[in-house]
Amino acid sequence: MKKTACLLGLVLIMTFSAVPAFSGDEADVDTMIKTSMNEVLAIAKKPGMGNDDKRKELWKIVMRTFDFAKITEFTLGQFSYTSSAALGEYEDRRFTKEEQDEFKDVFTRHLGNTYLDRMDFKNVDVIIDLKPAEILETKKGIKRAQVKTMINKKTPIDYILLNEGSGWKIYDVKVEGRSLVSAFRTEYKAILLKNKPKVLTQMLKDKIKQHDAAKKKS
Amino acid sequence: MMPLRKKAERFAFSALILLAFVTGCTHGGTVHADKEQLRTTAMDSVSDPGTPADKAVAVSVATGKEGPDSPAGTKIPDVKPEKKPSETGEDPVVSAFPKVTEEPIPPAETVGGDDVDEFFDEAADEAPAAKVAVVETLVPDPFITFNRAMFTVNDRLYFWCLKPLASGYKKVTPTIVRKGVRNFFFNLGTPGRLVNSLLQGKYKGAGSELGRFLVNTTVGVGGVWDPAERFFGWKPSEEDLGQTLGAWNVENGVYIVWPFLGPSTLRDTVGKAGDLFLNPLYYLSPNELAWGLSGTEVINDTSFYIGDYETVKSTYMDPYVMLRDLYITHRKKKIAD
Repeated sequence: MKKTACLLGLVLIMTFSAVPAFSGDEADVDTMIKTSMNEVLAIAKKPGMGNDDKRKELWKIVMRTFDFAKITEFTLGQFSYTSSAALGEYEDRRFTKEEQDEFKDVFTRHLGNTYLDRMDFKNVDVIIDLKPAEILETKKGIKRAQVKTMINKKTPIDYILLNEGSGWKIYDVKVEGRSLVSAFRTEYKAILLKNKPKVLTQMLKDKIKQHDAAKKKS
Repeated sequence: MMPLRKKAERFAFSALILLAFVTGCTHGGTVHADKEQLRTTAMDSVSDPGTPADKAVAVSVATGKEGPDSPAGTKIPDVKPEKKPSETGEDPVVSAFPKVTEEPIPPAETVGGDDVDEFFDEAADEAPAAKVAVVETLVPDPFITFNRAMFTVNDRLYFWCLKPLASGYKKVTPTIVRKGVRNFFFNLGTPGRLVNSLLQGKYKGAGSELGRFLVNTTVGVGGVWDPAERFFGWKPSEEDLGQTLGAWNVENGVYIVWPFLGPSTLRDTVGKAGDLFLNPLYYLSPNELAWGLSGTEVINDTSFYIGDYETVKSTYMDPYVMLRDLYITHRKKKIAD
């Protein structure tokens, strides 16, 4: 009974929530996160829908909810073309806009492969506790917020969002306090200290190729 | 002879690799859902002894290159590093992977670069270029050559031995049985958790451990079932000697990857050795029985996390570094809890 009521609630939320139009305060952030999560849940639990179709639908939500341009920019850090940080003798490792655009596309696909293609739609029973959104200190005129969650009362997962005027979007995820962007940034920095940007992009392309080949094989 | 056993602190970070927003939902269920509605059978209600992050792949690994039978099949291209005048030689073990200058973060700092605040900070743009060539690490790793070699050894052990065994075991063993086996071994670890809870002054946790042991061993049929959490809400206090030492302000020391056991630090290695004496399996005789039970524990635990390690390898260019940082971060959090 409870389950039925809960599912009905999800359906109602999905029906009456128009996600894209977010604008800047805690309530908007809360709505955005809750609505998107419930949409994801509804898709994951949808009976009769193939896993590939589910992933396609989920990807649409991810693309709408995450700011991959910012994720890319923060992942590249000082090597991003938008950064004005001095690189000294490593100045040739800074991405041009074109290189970064290409990297963004490849990196986004890599993230999609990594996370969406491996999702297990059989295990959809987990408790998610959402805490109210907190507005973070605004810097450089950019609004920021954070939403903390607890999965199964054990694993803390935090979403960090920003709003540059076009709505709230997630630009980082922290699992047990560890930033996803930071993890990639540390790794890519090590590579960029030895290689030019095109090499990093090529390495990611190779990862994608291998992923596709493995997927085909399985 | 020391029994081969999987330690609880292998950080598989399946949690991290789940792009939490999506995975939290798809692995999971209902936002703010009633716990009861998600748990349908008595066995299902048995609490997990640890999060996926706690449990990890039984053999942690490290190499820039994939094992030949790795499903991820990712191989770092043999990139010729574009050297700078300031750089010295390559690490022979990872010559295909660019070497970086690593600098441990001072202990007083928070986990380095753990957020992206600096990108919203004007001052960060004016950081000196001299800092560019430094990649901060969370722990000193002076034995990196040895560690990477052991990482490779463990990688092969995982793909060639452990994974096939665990996959086969998973196919023929119902989940309810595997959960029961996991709970049984977790219950056996009570002495270690109890003593370390006391050593850290966590008396509530120690009481919970004692109560859990009594209830689960009797009503829970030797620990196979976990009525203590289901009916009384007594959660395990997951403490070990490494955490106790950490709580007593003993630093990590150097990072070490042990064959079979995986990532550790000097402090945690000492802790593991001490914990061994609190594990009933250590006192089992004959040794073959202890080894057999320990092997069962490892295979059973691994059966829950098949695929996690593969995801790490396919996600990151250098999983050795990633697992090292994740291990340290995870331990730091456990000590702080």
